[in-house]
Amino acid sequence: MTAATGERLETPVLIVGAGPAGLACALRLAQLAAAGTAGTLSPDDIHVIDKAYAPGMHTLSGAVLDPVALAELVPDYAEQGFPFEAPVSEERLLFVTKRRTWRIPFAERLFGNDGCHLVALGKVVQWLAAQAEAAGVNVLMGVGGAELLIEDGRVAGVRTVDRGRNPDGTPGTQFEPGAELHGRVTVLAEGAYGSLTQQLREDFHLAGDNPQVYALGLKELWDVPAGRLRAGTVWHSLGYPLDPSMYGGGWMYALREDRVSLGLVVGLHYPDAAFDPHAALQRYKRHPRVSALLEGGRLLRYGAKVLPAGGLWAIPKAGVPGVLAVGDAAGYVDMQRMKGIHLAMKTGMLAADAAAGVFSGAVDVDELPSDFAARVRTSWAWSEMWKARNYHQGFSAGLYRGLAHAALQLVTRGRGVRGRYPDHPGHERLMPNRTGTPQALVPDEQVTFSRETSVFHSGTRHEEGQPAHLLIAEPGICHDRCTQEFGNPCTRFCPAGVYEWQEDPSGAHAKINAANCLHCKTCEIMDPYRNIRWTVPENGGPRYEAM
Amino acid sequence: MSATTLLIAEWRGSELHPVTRDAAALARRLGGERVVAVVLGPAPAAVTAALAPLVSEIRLVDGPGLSLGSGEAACHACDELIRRLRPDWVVIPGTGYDLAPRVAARWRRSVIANCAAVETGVDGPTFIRSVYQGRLLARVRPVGEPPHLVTVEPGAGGAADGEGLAGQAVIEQLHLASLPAETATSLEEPVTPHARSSSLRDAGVVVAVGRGIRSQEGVELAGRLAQLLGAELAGSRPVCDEGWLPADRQIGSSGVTVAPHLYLALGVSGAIQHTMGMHQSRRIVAINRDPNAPIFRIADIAVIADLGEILPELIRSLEQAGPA
Amino acid sequence: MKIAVCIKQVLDRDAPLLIDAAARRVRESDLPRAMSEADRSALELGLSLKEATNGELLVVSLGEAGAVQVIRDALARGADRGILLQHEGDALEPLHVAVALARGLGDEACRCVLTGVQSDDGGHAQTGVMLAELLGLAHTTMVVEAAHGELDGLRARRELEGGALQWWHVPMPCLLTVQAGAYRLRHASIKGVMGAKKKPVATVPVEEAMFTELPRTIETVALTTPPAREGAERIDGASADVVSRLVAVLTEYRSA
Repeated sequence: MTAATGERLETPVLIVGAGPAGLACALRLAQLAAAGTAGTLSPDDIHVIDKAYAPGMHTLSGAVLDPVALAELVPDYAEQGFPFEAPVSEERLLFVTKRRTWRIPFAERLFGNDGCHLVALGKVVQWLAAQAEAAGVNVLMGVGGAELLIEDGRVAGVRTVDRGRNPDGTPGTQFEPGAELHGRVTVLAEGAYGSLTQQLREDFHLAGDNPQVYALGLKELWDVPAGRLRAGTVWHSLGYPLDPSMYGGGWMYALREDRVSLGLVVGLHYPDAAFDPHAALQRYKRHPRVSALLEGGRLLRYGAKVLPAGGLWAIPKAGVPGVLAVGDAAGYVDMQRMKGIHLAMKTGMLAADAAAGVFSGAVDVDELPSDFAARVRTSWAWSEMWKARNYHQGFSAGLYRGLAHAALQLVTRGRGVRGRYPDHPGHERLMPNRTGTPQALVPDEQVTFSRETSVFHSGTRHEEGQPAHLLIAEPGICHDRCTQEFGNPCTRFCPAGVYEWQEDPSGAHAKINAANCLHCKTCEIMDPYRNIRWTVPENGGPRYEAM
Repeated sequence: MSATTLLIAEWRGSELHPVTRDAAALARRLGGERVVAVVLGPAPAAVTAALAPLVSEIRLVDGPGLSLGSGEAACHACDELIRRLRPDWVVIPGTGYDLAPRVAARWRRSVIANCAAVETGVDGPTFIRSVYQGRLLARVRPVGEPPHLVTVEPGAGGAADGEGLAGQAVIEQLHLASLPAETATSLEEPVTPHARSSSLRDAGVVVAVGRGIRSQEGVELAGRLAQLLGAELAGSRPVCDEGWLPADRQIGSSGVTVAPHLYLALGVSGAIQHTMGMHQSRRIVAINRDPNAPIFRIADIAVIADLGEILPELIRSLEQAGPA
Repeated sequence: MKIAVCIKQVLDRDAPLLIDAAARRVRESDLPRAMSEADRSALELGLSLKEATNGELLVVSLGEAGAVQVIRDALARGADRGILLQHEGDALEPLHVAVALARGLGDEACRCVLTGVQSDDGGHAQTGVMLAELLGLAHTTMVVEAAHGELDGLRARRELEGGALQWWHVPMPCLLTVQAGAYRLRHASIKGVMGAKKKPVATVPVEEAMFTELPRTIETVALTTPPAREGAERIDGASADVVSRLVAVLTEYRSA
């Protein structure tokens, strides 16, 4: 990177996000550069930026990994010490009520877990980062992208976050304005609902045939007494604590004999404004099957993150010169198989192939988005997304209809009852609160926890003295409209307790504990008034490590 | 047993520092009939008199520039005493972070530092010290040849039973003619600034307010209570976020960690972010109107009541009782 | 002026503490780690002294392979080079850490060495002073502020028992141990993050042979959680009774 003047820096390749997509892209491009198939590009020309302090800190997933993309990227991944936890050994799909469990036979086929492995995605990302760095890539952690640089109708790069502002936004004594990172090619690999990818969509009016919709995953990592579950056990459950109008379910994976990953996935299009995902997770843990597993164990980490659930129809076909979007940021998640890591890696690699073409002269830089799209279209990533193209939308009318559609899609190669099932933005489905406040569960602080204790176990930390990174466009709406219409659902849908509604003598108002934020993006997605905007904070975030 | 223990005495003004009593009690529990207290530099007679019932011998050591605070000279004097007396144990109060490691480095030993207690057993004593900021206890044993160096935390010896060894200590003078010159030197007298967050860190009594205090006025009342108890006033994060207390008064994982002997929690819920900063408090008294508040899980005394009612009455009562 | 800062990678202060089966150490894998709190202040002081004297800042860390993370963090914030003294396995006792650090720094001839007063995990509060003794450096502890002083020494402000502050003169070469919270560690600028990759980090294994002349002197035989407090004693009743009982309790407890 050459420093021009002040904070303007130029690089041939700028990748935003050091997750599986961004790092696979970087590593693949470094391999191509080293092999001489990317013109004069060298691995040192590749810069990956990420807002997290270290690789894996903001990374969260279940996860069951299909190693197909990994095998293409690093064929000798086993010898290179890839951090597998356990191969999937035993799978169950369960239907649960508050107390009982039934096994749903044959349905595991949906997930296609043969040959798959349980992993801690955080450790995978650490491994990928080490591989990329060993190949000569620059991985710059703790650098957040604040906004896209747009010049002449193309994306020219990214401006990083300002540092050293006071809480009121004025520059402090150690103020350092964000740097302008100019990239000939910019790859957005920010993860689901990435803020730069959102800006790209808004500024260039990019949209798929369907709007993008999301699901929220809340996860806990537990240390449990050994021997309760065989390593590699994979359980998915439907039903309790979600009601049939909702999409979602629970999971329990035994990464090791004494280590369990568990959680809930909830479609962020639920109608009941009183629903509280964190409380639902605590209720889930009270199910006899789950508490038997966790009894006497220790909660290690808690976290939450959204994932894109809209499928293929929600991915915009058009592109913008200079930039590509890959992985979760673009929407490449197979909701039917509940997998996206292999698609993130594959689309990252395809982006690298396309970018290499630009540097070798085979592809004009303005053709980059269409070249990338063509590569995706002819890859197994597309075929897999195609089969699942109507899966999630089938659940719009609830669990049972969704299962029926899913079954039909299995035998019609994804078509179901029509070519494209439509969808609606999640927040539009929120209906005013008619059911009253759900009974609060009193946490026992052994297996079930308060929101505060949960947030504590995410390790999330944002240094004092920085501006709040959550912006409320019109604060009056909270009191003037939302309280009556929806009962301030932000105080319930945020898994970190960022939003509090305080009644005090001077009146009721919202209190924003931005320091608790897990960067999950639920608030901006579910806000019925589109009033909340999530921006990249100066520093901080969760400290997941091995989630 | 013929074990010898050397005990470095510490004093303030003309009073024996309480931690020296703890060190003496611990020294006695180590067994051995010979506990030699070492007084480095000139000390008031009252100090020697206070030491006498606690130990079997006292060495009054003097020499050019020697005092407990003199780094090089004190270290050299200790070396000399260890050479002459060949003790099994050297017990040093944990107040200064200089003397013990200096001496230990010269004798090529690690110090068993900041011991909170000692357990005696057939295989010898096991020392108990806090690690991970008081979240865990480590049991530590010395290995190999003496001398073994131990520093002591206040309260370590167990109840200072006042009953020392039989008889009064034999007192001897020791004059060291030459001592090394100091390298680091102080430039002024110590200065105690007014309000410091370290005053919170070192406080013996802390009154902490949580969200349940509900207003700035409530915080002021709590401040009055703190005054009456001779306590430092502190708060949980929500209170500081509201601006009712300055940020440097915040206790918790993103604030100050305290370990007072009395922590009075007013309207504090006891979320883990807060308790991380005060769980080492010796006694916790909690007042909160929510019977399910997590603070009650770690409190010694629980009062489920409305602060608005209790606080003014408590203050009145203490005012009437007059100064303690 | 050549300055060295000794930094330690420890478990995050808020991380859960899991005691391993043999109950002698805490399990750290899969949990986040960070630079020990006091070391952050020592590093910031080192960076200020480097800037003030146009000097060179070397960071040294004794730890497992993964501890290179704190070294790289320090390089991104402005340190010039790093040394990882690599040691896997059970934690070394303070004397052995000091011996290993002394070996690592032996040829460097630093004018000033900075360490934290104590680490967030073991909290032995002795390694810095021991290192000074082994290197033959003048030293002082509990430093909350320092700057270049007269006569080729440093002026160091110490925090004494009870919170009193006192300025000291320490001749160089010297070692200071720095209090947690004394300084606020600066952020890494983007240039700093970019440049860190190019700064040299040497990895030197800690040889067991170093300790044959120095056998162990202490050992941790067990780690336990502190005994749970017995349940709270509830004070109930009419508010006058509650208050009088409270007054009695507070009066009793407030004197140590």
